[in-house]
Amino acid sequence: MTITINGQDVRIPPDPRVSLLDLLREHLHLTGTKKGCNQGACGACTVLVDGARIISCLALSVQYEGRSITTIEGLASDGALHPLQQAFIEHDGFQCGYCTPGQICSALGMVEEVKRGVPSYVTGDLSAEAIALTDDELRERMSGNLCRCGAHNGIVDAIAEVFAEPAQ
Amino acid sequence: MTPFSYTRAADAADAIVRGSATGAKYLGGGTNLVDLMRGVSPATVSRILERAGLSRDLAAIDEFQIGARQLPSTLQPKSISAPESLLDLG
Ligand SMILES: Cc1cc2nc3c(=O)[nH]c(=O)nc-3n(C[C@H](O)[C@H](O)[C@H](O)COP(=O)(O)OP(=O)(O)OC[C@H]3O[C@@H](n4cnc5c(N)ncnc54)[C@H](O)[C@@H]3O)c2cc1C
Ligand code: FES
Ligand code: FES
Repeated sequence: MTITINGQDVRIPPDPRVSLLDLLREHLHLTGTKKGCNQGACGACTVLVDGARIISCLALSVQYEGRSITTIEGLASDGALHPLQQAFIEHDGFQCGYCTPGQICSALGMVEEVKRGVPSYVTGDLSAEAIALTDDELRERMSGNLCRCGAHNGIVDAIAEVFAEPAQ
Repeated sequence: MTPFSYTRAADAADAIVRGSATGAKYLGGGTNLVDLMRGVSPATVSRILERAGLSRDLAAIDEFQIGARQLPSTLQPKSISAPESLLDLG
C-alpha cells in the first residue's frame, strides 16, 4: 500500500488511524505542513491531492492509497521557489509563517477550482463560462485558511499578483 | 482513536452489503467522521470501508453538492454514538 508524496512512493502505515497530516509530519518528518487545530477549521494542514486541496488533518492516509500528494516541500524545483512562494515573500504574505504552507497549497488548489468553473458563495453568474478571480472571489475562496497574524492583505496581494487577470 | 478496520468496497452493491454490517460506517471525505471518531465517540468505531469514486456515482442522483465529498441527503447518520466500522465511498 503506497502513496506518492512529492514524487516519492511512500509506504502507508498499516494502522488506518494515521492521518495524512501525521504521516507527513511524524512519520516522514515533512514538517512544512502545519497542524493548527487538527479539526478542519484552520487550513494550516492543507495539501494537494492530485492537484485538489484537502485538509490533511481529517484525512486518513489509507484513503489516499495510490494518489499523489504535493506538500509545500514539493513546490520548489531545482532550488527555485514556486512563483507563489516568491510572491508571498515580496508581498509580506506572512509574519510568523505558520499558516503559510497551507495558504500556498490552498491557493494553488483554489486557482484550479476557478479554472474548472466551480462557483463560490460570491459568484454572481452561476452559468458563466469563466469565473474571474476578483478580490471578492479570492477572499471568499481563501476564507478556509486562517491567519492568526493577520497577514491577509499580503496573502491576497501575493495570490492576485500570480493568478488574477489584470483589470481591463 | 480506538482501532478500527478499513475496507474499500468493490462497487455500490458491495458497499450496501458491507455497510449493513453491525457497526459499519460509510466514509466520504472524512471531514465529519474522522473528527467525530477522535472526539465524541472514540470507543465505538471498529471498521471502515471505502469504495473510490462511489460518491460521484451517488452524486449523479442528486441535484446539488455542498462542496464536500458527500451530498446533504446522504449525511444523516442515525446515530453518532455507535459506529463500529466505516465504509469509505470517497
Ligand atoms: C471546520 C468545519 C466547518 C464546517 N462548517 C459547516 C457548515 O457551516 N455547515 C454545514 O452544513 N456543515 C459544516 N461542516 C460539516 C461539513 O459539511 C461536513 O464535514 C462534510 O459535509 C462531511 O462530508 P464528508 O464527505 O467529509 O463526510 P464524512 O465525514 O466522511 O461522513 C459524514 C457522515 O456521513 C456518513 N456518510 C458518508 N458518506 C455516506 C453515504 N454515501 N451514504 C450514507 N452515509 C454516508 C458517514 O458514515 C458519517 O456518518 C463543517 C465541517 C468542518 C470540519
Ligand atoms: S490543522 Fe487541519 S484544518 Fe486546522
Ligand atoms: S503568518 Fe502567522 S498565522 Fe499566518
